[in-house]
Amino acid sequence: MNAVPGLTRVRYEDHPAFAGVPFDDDPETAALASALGATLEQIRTRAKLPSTDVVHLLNSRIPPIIDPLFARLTERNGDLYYAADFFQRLKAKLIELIIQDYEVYADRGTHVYADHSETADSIAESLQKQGFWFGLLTPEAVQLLNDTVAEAKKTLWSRYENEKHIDREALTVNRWGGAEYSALAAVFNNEIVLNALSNYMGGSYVFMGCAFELSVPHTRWWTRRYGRDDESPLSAYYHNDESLRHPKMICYLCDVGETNGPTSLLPVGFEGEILGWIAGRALDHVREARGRDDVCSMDGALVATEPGRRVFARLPKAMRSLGHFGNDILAGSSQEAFILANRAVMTGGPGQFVLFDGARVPHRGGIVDQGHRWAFQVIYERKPA
Amino acid sequence: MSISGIFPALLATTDFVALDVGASHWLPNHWRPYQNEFAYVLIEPDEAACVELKKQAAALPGGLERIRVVTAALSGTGGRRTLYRTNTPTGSSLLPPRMAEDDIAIFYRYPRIDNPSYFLPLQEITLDTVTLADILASQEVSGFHMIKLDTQGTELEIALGLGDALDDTVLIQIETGDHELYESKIGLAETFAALNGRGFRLYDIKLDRDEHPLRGSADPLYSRHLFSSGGQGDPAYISRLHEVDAVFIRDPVLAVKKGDADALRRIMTAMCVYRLFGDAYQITGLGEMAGLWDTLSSARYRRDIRRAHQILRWHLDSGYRLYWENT
Repeated sequence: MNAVPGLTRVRYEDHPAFAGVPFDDDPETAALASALGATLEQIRTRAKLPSTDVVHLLNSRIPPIIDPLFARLTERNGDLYYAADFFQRLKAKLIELIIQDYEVYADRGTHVYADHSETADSIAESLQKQGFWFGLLTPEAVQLLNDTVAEAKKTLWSRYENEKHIDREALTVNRWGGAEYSALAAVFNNEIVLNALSNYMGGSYVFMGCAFELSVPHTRWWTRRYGRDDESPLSAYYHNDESLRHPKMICYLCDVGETNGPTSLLPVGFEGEILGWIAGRALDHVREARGRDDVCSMDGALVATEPGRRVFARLPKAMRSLGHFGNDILAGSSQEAFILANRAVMTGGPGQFVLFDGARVPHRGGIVDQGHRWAFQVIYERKPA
Repeated sequence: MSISGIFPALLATTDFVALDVGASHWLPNHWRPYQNEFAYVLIEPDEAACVELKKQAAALPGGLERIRVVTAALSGTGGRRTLYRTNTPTGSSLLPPRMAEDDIAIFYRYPRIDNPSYFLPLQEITLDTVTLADILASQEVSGFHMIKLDTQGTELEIALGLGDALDDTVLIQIETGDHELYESKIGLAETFAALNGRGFRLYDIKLDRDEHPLRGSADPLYSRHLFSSGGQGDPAYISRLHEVDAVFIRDPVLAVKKGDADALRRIMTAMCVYRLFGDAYQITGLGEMAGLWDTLSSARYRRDIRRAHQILRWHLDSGYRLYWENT
């Protein structure tokens, strides 16, 4: 799969926030990165053959490239006191994601399609071709969800209305009692959805868990990565999820229109440039300083700080990308125009949902101008053996 | 569009025509689990046999439109040829039986020289023959994708008589051997070379051994009389290879290089008929690697392949016997 023309990767070398930051285009590092990308692509292709031992290929072909690549990066960047530790953590994260991604590719290489219904088939087709599918829960299912989260809604609303919280962590519930979990699982383990997901993912998938979120206006977590005014508010927070092995569902529990945080998705992806795609998702979770990893606001990203930008610029060009790339798109740019022209915006009432592969499909949601949004973020996982 | 219940994905948009040359007793056993799955053309020179074949075909879904019975004698070139009709009908051929009493015949032909009732009396009948290319044109099908040939020595010339359309064939089951029962008979080496040259690869062989009877009669056999052996059931004793049914399949890699997805789907289907389920499974990934279909299609093809295996197992567990086994 190739990246779709019109939404090319952000070229950080030309980004105003990187002005004055020296980029290192060391040919040897670039060659190693190129070899790593080519090898990853070869293994991804080979994984389509049912007989391929994907684990063996990864174990035998990746270390001889990735080890010297990171050794080279460490050796060349001793002037940044934090670089060695950063590269060590990035390498570990990169390997973790490679293993996760290739578990999915290996699954797909041997999966036997399970028949269910024409609807399940069309969902699987849509996930394959576009990366997402829009659906609507039954009124009975919506009622069950409403009943199940009644207390959670009161709690979250109180935090917002009375305690004036607007941060995402405070306005999210993701721990459930046994009865609540069972009720949620009864809805989200919809047989048609599970069958479609399983055929798409290449294994038997089930509901893993969900977060119930209240999205409100006047938030900043999704924007202002660099503290500059040239960030596109229309593309900010578009991102690819970290994990390929956890497909997702966003399900509304209220009316959602254009202004109260609709989820929108792009029917394109970056997985054609495999190294950049994986590295970008890894770099979302590795900051320049230990202990700052997994900060989930956009101004907590690696590139939001000067030291972070400096070490980011030392990466080979093929790895200079971020899963949360939307905040690096400039207002008025052709990339912003492409997103506006091609995005699919999900509006709808309670029970409206989108099932999607968040690692492949750039998406964003919950950015509210007016009103508020109640929504579930549902995660699926491969059924334990 | 497919009428197939076993291969709904593999044959969703790909047609599959099976050709049985020498179909006097209906489809071979190993094709019968799939008798409702494909289009068939059955060719048999004997008119009385064709009448019976048509009765059987008419009783199945799609009837004579799906299973066509053609009364014809085939050759590689068409035109008038001599049929050597032997006393035992299964020995009849367009090639003359080798009757000379020489060292070769005495050594190899055992009972048929001293006790030649298999061949004699021998009738020579002049008849009009057609080629497979002629049959293909008359049937208006896209090709003969799976072919079984058993014509006593003329199999290869008949197959090659399909001309360029042989390139559309994905599997040929062909009887061949070096037994020299007939004059000018094409042997194993020539058959292998010719079909390899047309892009086929040998995937399976059913061996047919022929044991010398002691002193000219069918019984006792050498094995039983002189070696106290159970003959075919004795792993310590075998006899010379008489002939083989060789299964040639179009090289999947060549089909991939041509970007021919239909050929690959037919190859997978034909492999299932010949129990090569693992090989078929592998091709699902080969086509996907080449970009000829997507991941979901691969998974659907694997579903078809597994289903075909399950159905065959069910047939076998129900007492059904395969062509390869003695019935």
